[in-house]
Amino acid sequence: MTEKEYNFCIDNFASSLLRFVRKHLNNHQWAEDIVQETFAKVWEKRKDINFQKAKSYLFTTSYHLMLNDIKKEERKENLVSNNIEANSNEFNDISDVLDLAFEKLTEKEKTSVLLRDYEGYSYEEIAQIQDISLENVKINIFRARVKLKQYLVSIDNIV
Amino acid sequence: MITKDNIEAYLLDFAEGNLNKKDKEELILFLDNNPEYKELMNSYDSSLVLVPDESIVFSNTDNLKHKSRKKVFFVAFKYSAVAIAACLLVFLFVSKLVIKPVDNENTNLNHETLVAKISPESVIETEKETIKPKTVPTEKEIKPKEEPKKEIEPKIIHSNSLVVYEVDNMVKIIEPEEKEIKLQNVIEVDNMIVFQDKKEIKKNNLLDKLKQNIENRIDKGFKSFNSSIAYFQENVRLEDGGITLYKNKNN
Repeated sequence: MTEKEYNFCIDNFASSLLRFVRKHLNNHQWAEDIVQETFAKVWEKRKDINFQKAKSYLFTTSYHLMLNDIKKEERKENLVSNNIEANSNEFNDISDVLDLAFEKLTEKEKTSVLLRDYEGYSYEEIAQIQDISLENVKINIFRARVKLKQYLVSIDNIV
Repeated sequence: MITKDNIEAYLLDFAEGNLNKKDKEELILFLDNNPEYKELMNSYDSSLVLVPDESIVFSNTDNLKHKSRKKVFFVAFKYSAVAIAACLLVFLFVSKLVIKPVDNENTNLNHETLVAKISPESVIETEKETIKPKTVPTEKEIKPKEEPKKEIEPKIIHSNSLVVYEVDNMVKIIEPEEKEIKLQNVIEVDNMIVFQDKKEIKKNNLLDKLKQNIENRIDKGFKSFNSSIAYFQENVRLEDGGITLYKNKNN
């Protein structure tokens, strides 16, 4: 990947990468740090990266950085729990409910469904990014959608 | 084969219409045997899709970008190359100024053929250095009068008080008074007077030869013939038995 292609990736994928990570972490600054670190790593290895697969490489890198960050610092759980508690009684619209429902998913389920819905990746591409089997990707996505649906129904019953 | 571990993958493919006939029949058979998964199938909603929030953008993209250093390097290299070239030019110029003494080998103005008389007033007699007899022949040996006239080629340059002959690829300098100069055989080129012993002068040929001689023989170390002459006027004096080179103490 050339320098020009690298800068092209920044222009075209930085924001989508940020949305992907931010949705996971529910923290904008933290997500920006992950994105910056992702691009820094990609810059270091740009000579070995095929531009055609640069986007997948970016998501793969950010995904693993994110998981490592979460495991290392265990910040996310506290942030999420605080966030849910703070907003549990405030449902402005369906998206707020979906945000809360999303937080109930496992990290792998979140990643699979986000890559599918946000970026439109195929199941095979998602399997490659997450380094899991194709079957597991489908299971993740199926479970994620069922959980979201069940959460929406439960909230609807409460309200 | 459909199992409880991968049934959800099959349910997803079924919901999205990606199962072939054989897999469909296998799935229906599995659901008949495991009815709890029929309920799970009803909980799946393929229309429930997450939509990204487009208002979230990465604002510091410029900080992430890398700007090429090639141009900077190229410009730096370009300027350094110019600087090196300028230094070389300055060095050459200064070396020309500093290395002023006559290189006899280059100019072919060697002592063996050089005879010069310069007024003593123009020489500051401070330090004296006599050239060894081995390298300096006697005046008799090198007097132009002793040279057979027939061998003298008409390549003659006259400047100021000196007359310069070129004979057999060597240069001789004599006083103009010592040589009869016929006015009709003298022409003036730039600031120098050129004459020859032959009756007729071909101006164009002589001019070309004069310039060529100056460039090729006399002026290899110096830019002008006059500067060479000036050097001799200041530093060279003819005495009995040889040529004396005077050096100015101030130099």
